[in-house]
Amino acid sequence: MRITEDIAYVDLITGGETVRIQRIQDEEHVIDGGFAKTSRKCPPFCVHPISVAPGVETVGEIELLEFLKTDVQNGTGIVIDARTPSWYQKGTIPGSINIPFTDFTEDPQSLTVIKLMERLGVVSGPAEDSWMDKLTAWAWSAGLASPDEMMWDFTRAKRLVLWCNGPWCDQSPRAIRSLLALGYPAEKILYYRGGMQLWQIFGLTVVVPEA
Amino acid sequence: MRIPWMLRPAAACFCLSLGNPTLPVQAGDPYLDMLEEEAQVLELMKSAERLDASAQANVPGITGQNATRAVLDAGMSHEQFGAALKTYFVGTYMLYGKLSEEQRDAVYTHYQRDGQIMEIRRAIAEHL
Repeated sequence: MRITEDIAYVDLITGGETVRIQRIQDEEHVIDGGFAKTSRKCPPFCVHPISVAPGVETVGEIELLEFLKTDVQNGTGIVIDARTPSWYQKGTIPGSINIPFTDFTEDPQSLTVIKLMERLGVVSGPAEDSWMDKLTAWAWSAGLASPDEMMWDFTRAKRLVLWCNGPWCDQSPRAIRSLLALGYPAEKILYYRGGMQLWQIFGLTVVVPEA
Repeated sequence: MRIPWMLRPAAACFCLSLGNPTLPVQAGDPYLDMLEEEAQVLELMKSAERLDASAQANVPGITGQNATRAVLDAGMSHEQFGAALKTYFVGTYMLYGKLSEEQRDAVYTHYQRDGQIMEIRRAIAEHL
């Protein structure tokens, strides 16, 4: 059971180990349990549109696999499982890191957000890559600019793919909107709308994180 | 979008007039509560399923995929339904046993519409 005509499986090196992403080879296999449910209560579990926010591209399974093979393996990209830990612990997409959507909505000046942004390749402080940024940096250091607002340098921000439970889940859309509100470049954010729901429908490999 | 510092107060007023694009998560956020409730329901279902599967290893006729996708015979009385759970799906029966009389009636009504063990587990878990 191939993934596409050209792709039988994708091998990833994650956490020092090789994980093979492939489809379940049993043609009779069907999903069961939570992801077999078709009609969750709405609200809050409503169907989401294809587009999550202007400038943010929505991707599918093939694009996610390509991202894992390239951007994640070479360190320029991160796949984020934006679900709360109780969902993440049930199983996640190989190569994903867990950053619950709730972390993105913390106070921008909090240690949580600062550390989170560092993981994403973003540092605090002005970028100084334009005359406006240089003027801002000077004003900031001279105490003339407001110290209340955190400034971020997105020059080396990584490309991100965020996902959650599926097209009925709002966790990754919330995380994405929070990132955009923090100033994260929209063109560096990708939304895997299918999430765990579609990942399982295609019988793709799910890994259960160590407790 | 980077906003020059001298324009930020004006920008802030403009943004506030459009509405905050971020959805802050407050303590007691209803969405978070429902998410965690759903996660808990799935966990209970999974636990019942695991226990059912380990018990069914000894019951002739119900093994493997059948244990997950089994369908209870239609037309059982309420007592027969409980007995079938106790005999064939001990994990699910343990959860069923925690329900009140009224909740068990609701689960029985659900069984009358849909006898799939997966759906019965969900109906039980949602009452817990």
